[in-house]
Amino acid sequence: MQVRGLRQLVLGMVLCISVVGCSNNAKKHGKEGAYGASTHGAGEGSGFGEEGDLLSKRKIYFAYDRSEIRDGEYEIIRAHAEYLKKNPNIHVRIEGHTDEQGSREYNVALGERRAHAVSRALEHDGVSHHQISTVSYGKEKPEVTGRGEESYALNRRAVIVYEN
Amino acid sequence: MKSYPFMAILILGLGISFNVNARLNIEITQGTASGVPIAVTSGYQETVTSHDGSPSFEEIAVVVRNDLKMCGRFAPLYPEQMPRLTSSQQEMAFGTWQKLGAENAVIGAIQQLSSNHYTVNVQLLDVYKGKTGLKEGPSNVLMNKSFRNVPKQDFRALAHHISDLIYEKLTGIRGAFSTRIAYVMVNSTMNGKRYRLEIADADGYNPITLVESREPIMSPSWSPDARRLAFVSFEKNRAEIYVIDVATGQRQLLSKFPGINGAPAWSKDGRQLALVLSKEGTPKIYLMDIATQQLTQLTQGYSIDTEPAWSVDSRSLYFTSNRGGKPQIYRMNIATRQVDRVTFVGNYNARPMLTPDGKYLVMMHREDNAGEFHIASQDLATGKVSVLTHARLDESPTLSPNGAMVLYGTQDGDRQILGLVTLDGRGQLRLPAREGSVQEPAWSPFLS
Repeated sequence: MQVRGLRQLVLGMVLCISVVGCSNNAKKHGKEGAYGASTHGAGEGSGFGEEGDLLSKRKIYFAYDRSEIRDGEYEIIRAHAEYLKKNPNIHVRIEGHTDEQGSREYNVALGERRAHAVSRALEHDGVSHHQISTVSYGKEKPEVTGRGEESYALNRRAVIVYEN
Repeated sequence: MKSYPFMAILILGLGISFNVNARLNIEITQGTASGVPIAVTSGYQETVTSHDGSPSFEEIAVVVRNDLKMCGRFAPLYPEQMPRLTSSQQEMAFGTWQKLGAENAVIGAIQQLSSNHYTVNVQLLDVYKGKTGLKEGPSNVLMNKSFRNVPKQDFRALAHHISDLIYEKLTGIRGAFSTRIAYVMVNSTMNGKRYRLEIADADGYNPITLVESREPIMSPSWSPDARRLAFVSFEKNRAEIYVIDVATGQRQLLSKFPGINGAPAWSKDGRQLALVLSKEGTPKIYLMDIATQQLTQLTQGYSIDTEPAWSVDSRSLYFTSNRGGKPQIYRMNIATRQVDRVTFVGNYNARPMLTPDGKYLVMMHREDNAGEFHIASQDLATGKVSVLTHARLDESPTLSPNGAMVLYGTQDGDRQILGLVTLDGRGQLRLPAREGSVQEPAWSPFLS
């Protein structure tokens, strides 16, 4: 239900396939590197043409403390799996996130389970594991701030980010 | 007491000396502490000998009052409550302080030796003993110290040292005011978030940015000699563990395996890091020899194991695991690899930390059928759990090296701020940041 509501926002945005949003270089003592975009807004938008609306959906949502993909989310994953199989040079990074409840490092682990669940589902549909990487940000990068189940539900997510 | 021009110069002097590097990110001055009133003030000798423009003990007293308030055990009297002392008034002052409930008074004076060197004299007195007050017989002087040849730029450090001495004299516990804290600052800008790993004095002064990034920084952990910090950085869109030298700012990448690299924790001899890696599929606890980067896997199985914390004798690691269903705290004997469950109260226990005497486990705790997370301590001998904090989402507890105070993360509106609570739960402070959010504090060991 939350995904449908976001779609309104999403279809209104113009997406460049190249990097949108923040670059990711550390300012102090860090090495320079071009590692693509990873911010919340970067994965949204249209631009895949005939593949349909499903490809514009990049977020899979999860129940509290769970990492199973719920039935309604599979069609999104299938759409991305079809696209990735047809384009074996394209890579995605699955980012796992949690709501704010619980300790930080435990939530990194929970976020990883969510990213892995999506990654496994893509591979199950035939995508090569070379095309997929995963990372978990735990509760460090919430989509929405605020208390209460409505906000929490929007933060419990895995985001499919196209890297090239 | 009537010398207003003198007072004005004093206040001006204070402003000049303290605002030069006073970019505080954490204001450890706010909040209400419950505690025993204590008077900290300049003595009558100073009124006699000091002259316009010279520093006063009040500069040191401000820092000492703040330290004593911060530890949650004392309620320092403010200058308005304390008359400026002349020799005949000091006796009256004892009466005033007794009425205000103070048991002790700290009286100091500064004498100038040369252009930038001073002698600082401090006495800690028992307000109730020695009825004549002024006659400082051995019965009411608990401590009498003289610090010679102190340059002005060392006044703040000396003040923290004086706080340490006072604290130890009155509680029997070593003071932790001359220590440092590390934490992560998060600010929102127009281009997204900025994350900074910062260190500061334990009272929040002299903040220094060690690392700045547009991606999250997590889990700072001090080396036992307080010279290095291990931390997790996502600046490359993946988790990596670095060690940074605090003095030079030089960084070394220690761990960048596929998957999670997290929760680094230094061993007491500084030679090993306990850490979390999920390179084999699920997050497990490993030991890494820092010099050789050789890895030893400690925990096994399909559960989430994370947040390792060393036991005081270094023979065990406490950690968070959901191997029993929900996150609870377990302990592994490193030699035998035997794992035992430690927490049985509440349906979520995580982020373990041991007190220096090994008697208590401090943790993040959620009671059954409740939504809120608090900081709690568990008596390891009896299993009794005491809940120390009472906000909605209290997290990331870190202990002062004397085990007396817990610094932790808590919420203030939609920001994260730091909170401070004494281990007995009685003293509570909230420490708001000037701007942005502060999270994941880590208290340094004693600095040698």
